[in-house]
Amino acid sequence: MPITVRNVSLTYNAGTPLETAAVKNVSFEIADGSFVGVMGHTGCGKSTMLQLIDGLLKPDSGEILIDGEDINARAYDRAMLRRKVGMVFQYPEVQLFETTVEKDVSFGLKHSGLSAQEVGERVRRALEMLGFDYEKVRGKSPLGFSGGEKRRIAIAGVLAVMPDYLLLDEPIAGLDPLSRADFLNLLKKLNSEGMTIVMISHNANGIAESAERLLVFEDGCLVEDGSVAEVFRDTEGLRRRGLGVSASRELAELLNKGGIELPQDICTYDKLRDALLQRLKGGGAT
Amino acid sequence: MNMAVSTQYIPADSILHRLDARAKFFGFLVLVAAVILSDTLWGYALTFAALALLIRLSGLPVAAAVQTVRRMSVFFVVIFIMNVLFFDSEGAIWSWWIFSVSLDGIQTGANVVLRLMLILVLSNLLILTTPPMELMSGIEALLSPLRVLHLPVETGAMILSVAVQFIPTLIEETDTIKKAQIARGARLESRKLRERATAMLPLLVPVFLSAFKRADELSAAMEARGYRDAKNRTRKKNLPMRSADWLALASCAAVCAAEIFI
Repeated sequence: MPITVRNVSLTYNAGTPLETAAVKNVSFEIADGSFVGVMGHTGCGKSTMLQLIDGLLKPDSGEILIDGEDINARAYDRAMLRRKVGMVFQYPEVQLFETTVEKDVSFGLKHSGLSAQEVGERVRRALEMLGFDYEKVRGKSPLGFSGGEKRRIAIAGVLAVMPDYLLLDEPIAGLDPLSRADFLNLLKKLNSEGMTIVMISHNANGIAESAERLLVFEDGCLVEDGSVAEVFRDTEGLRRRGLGVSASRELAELLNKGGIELPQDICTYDKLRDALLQRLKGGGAT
Repeated sequence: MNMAVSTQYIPADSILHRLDARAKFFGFLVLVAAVILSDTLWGYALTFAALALLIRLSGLPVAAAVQTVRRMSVFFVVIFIMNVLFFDSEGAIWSWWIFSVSLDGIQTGANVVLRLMLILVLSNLLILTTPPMELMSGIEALLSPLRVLHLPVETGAMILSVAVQFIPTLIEETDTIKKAQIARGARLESRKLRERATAMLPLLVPVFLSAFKRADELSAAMEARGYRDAKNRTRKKNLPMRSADWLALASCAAVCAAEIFI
């Protein structure tokens, strides 16, 4: 069952001079098993939107349905929502607090009613997914690790719950290129196993390489919604909104302008490479 | 981003906003004295009138100026009841066990509550119309005579202003961490007291850690930019008191003086 957002609006500090409309009448639907990227300027309402979906903020109007149920209904089981939807905040490394990595990663499973063995198994799986040696790290303090490692531990804590939906707010900001690629590959793998993923990112390359669909927010409104290739086709429009497209898309466009014709739906490195190789082999270019 | 921030400075361009922070701070103290001095009906009428005028001059909605009073109404009720029940007096109207209600008690209770409310609204007005940084420089100016005693006034003011400057950041960060832990399944929303107490740990540890980290980074950044001591620093804004500021102070003093005679 999908996530449905219907005519949702939210205003911060309503009724005071500091009133700001964060989300204005936004509607969209996210199908099960999809991988959706979200882009937009700082303060455009995208993080607010994610928190609305996770039930951390209440909309002033409109409704949000997850698996067909209104999450803001009085009778809705919040604990179930927490198990269903995982959320990785920006800089999640700050949320670590336990004495050992194992305890911190298993925090979300505390009230799950699972056996200790099952919890241990999930923690092991989550840590291994993020490239840790479970036996080596389980007893260490999570605070002694480097920034990038701490982020991976925090994300393991979210994944240990095994949510159906995973929301991520700028998860790859500030990561080195290698861990960024590793992390995006992990997300793609989780997605191929059926997890629905919504990821906010300023990194157009990261979005092009991983997401299928792209939502663009501006000034609290949803202004673009389509496949990544569709949205990236209008490079000028995105630039006017202060956003960039992926490097591959940009290069393909430049080559086009220079007279080397390539398909307009190229957004990823692999596609661009294949298209160029094909042209070279076909003897079209000199 | 949430309710906690709402008691802070509201930017606007009113007479009260434009006044010098030192004048406002000193005027505030003088008016507090006036409130404490008022104990007759006419006295209260005067302080009420002065306060109403100030709210008017601040251009703020009345609701914003009195919101803290409303929020603390339970506290005021309790204070009033305590005063009424426990005030020792000869002429008790009604007494039972250790309680005794007298006209004097009612009067003292009303006095205490009224004064507290008035002072609360006054301080609210000061905070709402003065940017925190200016408020701190106002405090520094008022404490400057202590320099004679070789007290490090500038350093103290610097520490205060840094602390004040970081309050919104810390509130925002606490809010984010709180949401992150709730998203992970922390039961901060829970109504059970025991669960709530243990649930504070995931909030407190990260907030303290990040505050310490921030302090380290800030001191490194300050030293990197050549900070050595607060004493020999010059100020970006170094304005003299204008005639409007003196006039405001004089009006406050007049109200206070009138209270003494009423």
